[in-house]
Amino acid sequence: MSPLGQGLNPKIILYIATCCLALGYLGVANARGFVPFASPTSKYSGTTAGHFHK
Amino acid sequence: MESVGRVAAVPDDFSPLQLGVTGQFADRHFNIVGRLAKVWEEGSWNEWCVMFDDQRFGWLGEAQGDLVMTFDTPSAAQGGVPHKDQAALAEPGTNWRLDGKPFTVTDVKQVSCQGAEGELAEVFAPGEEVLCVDLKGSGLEFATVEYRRASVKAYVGRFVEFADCRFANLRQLDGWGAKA
Amino acid sequence: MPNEKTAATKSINCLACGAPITLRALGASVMVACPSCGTQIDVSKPEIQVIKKYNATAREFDLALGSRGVLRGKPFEIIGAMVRSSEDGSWTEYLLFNPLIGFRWLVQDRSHWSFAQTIKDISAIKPNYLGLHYDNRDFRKYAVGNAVVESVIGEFYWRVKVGDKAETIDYIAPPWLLSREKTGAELIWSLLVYLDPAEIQAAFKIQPQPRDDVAAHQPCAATETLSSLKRYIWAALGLALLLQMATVITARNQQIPIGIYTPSASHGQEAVFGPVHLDATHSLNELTAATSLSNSWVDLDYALVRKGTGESYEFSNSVEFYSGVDSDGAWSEGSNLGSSLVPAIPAGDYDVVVDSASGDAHGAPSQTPIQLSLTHNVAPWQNFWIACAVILIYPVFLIYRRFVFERERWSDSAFNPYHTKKEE
Repeated sequence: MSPLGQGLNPKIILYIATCCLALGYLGVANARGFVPFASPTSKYSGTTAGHFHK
Repeated sequence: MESVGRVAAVPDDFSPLQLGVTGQFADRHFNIVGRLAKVWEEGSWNEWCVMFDDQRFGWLGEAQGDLVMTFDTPSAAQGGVPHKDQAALAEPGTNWRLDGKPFTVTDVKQVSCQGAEGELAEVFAPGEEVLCVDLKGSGLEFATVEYRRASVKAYVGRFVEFADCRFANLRQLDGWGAKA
Repeated sequence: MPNEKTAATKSINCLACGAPITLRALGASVMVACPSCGTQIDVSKPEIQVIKKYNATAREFDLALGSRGVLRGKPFEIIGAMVRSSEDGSWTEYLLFNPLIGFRWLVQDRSHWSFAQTIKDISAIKPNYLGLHYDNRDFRKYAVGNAVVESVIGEFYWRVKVGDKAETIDYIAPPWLLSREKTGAELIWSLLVYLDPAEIQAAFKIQPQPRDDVAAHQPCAATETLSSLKRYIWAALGLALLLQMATVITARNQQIPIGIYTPSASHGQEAVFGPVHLDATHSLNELTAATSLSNSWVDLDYALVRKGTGESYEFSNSVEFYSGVDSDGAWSEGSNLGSSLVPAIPAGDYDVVVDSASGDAHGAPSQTPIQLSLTHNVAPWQNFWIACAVILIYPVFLIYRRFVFERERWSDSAFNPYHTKKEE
């Protein structure tokens, strides 16, 4: 039996705080439509199938 | 039931048990009423005679830091224990059946009594050598078969932990408080 | 029933060398090995006698006979000590005694300490695929060896002597270790629990050696942290998923056509489209440019300009497509679809201003029309992946630490699961 306490372990507290920050960021950023990396300038399909015929 | 007073000096030891100690076994309350000091070639131990509230007897063996409570079980002695000559040659690991249950021989030795005090459930002749076979059952089960001169006795029971017996009125041990 | 007076420990003198010996477990112990000369003395009967005489020099033990310490809440006294060795090294076993409990053991293996007890109910030990099952735990086979007694001092409950041999098998379920010892026909099982250095220090006021390796049953701190974090990891990931699902479900994904833009037709000027009406209070939008180029490229610059306030959100994308035939056959390169994510746009009416640089097969501005459209209020996914990554950084680190620790633990075992195995 480890002499560590449960729940009051500083590592656990720090981890819960980190998760709260991550979830808070997720909630707020999504609500505001914010994304950190907005503009890939174009998408490369990389295949030989083209979009020739329209 | 024999009151033997002090037949021969019971050897001095550091046991917390003494006459008058009360305890519990399988929710039944008992009193330690007597003591038999048994000895064999390489060691000795105490057999405490205990009397339960319903006037039945048991034997609390105290050896090498272990406690074992056994009861005189005539049905086990009658059914299928090997004859004395065969028992004397039994090797540890041999299987016997006692009281319908499987047991394994752990020890075969010559035992005699070197002292007694208090009240005992049976008569013992001090110095009489008895062939004694110890057996282990499944779990914590324990049994002893004793080949006396005139009879065979089987004691069946199990190991118990000191704390589980909830002893009261223990002997004071120098350096150890009454509670562990 | 008279109460006896307080029982005291007994003192005797060694029958061989005369040194004083204290008997601390009279009645429970059967022999004592003189700490000064090692002579074995039978103390099971009132008449003590020599079992075997020795003439050894006193050996140093880290803990002295008679030392007391509290382990797992109960006080014990050291009454005997012996050193045993095997192919893997040597260790010390201290016999602990408490008259109101019985015997226990303290095992010292270099820097690692364990608290041990002999198991009485052997039927509770069951074999299984990996080793053994006991007390609701699975134990893995760790080591097989032969142990020999090297030196003995103090009291024991059987006649231990130098040279006694036992075949041993160890099984681990950290912090527990199950030890099986076979001496002749006798089989003894013991259960050991690993003691944290702080525990042994608090118990016997001894400074344990610093650890430079991992013991068989040493608990892994990363494993313990991971199991205490487990519920929070799942809760956080679950909440992140819930938040993301809510975002996905409420996203309008409204398709708004903007118009057709032809670079050459603008003669290098900006083209203005719109207005487009963006409903959502704040939104992530995706602007798509679709075309069918033939060996041309177009770099597009956009601005979403809010009517009334004049706020401008600028971004860009590009399209290019090349194709041909060579010795390997037909080839093509590029994409006719360009898109941009336009984040955090407040509700309102917006003009879409488009400018470009382009080149067709002849180096002139592209004449191919480009269809521009906007998907309003799309669900962002980046934030979700970022949140998951942040939630998982520490657990992944702990998993790595656990892997390194376990590899170190098993590196000393003949049953190492991290290497390809020859037997088992």
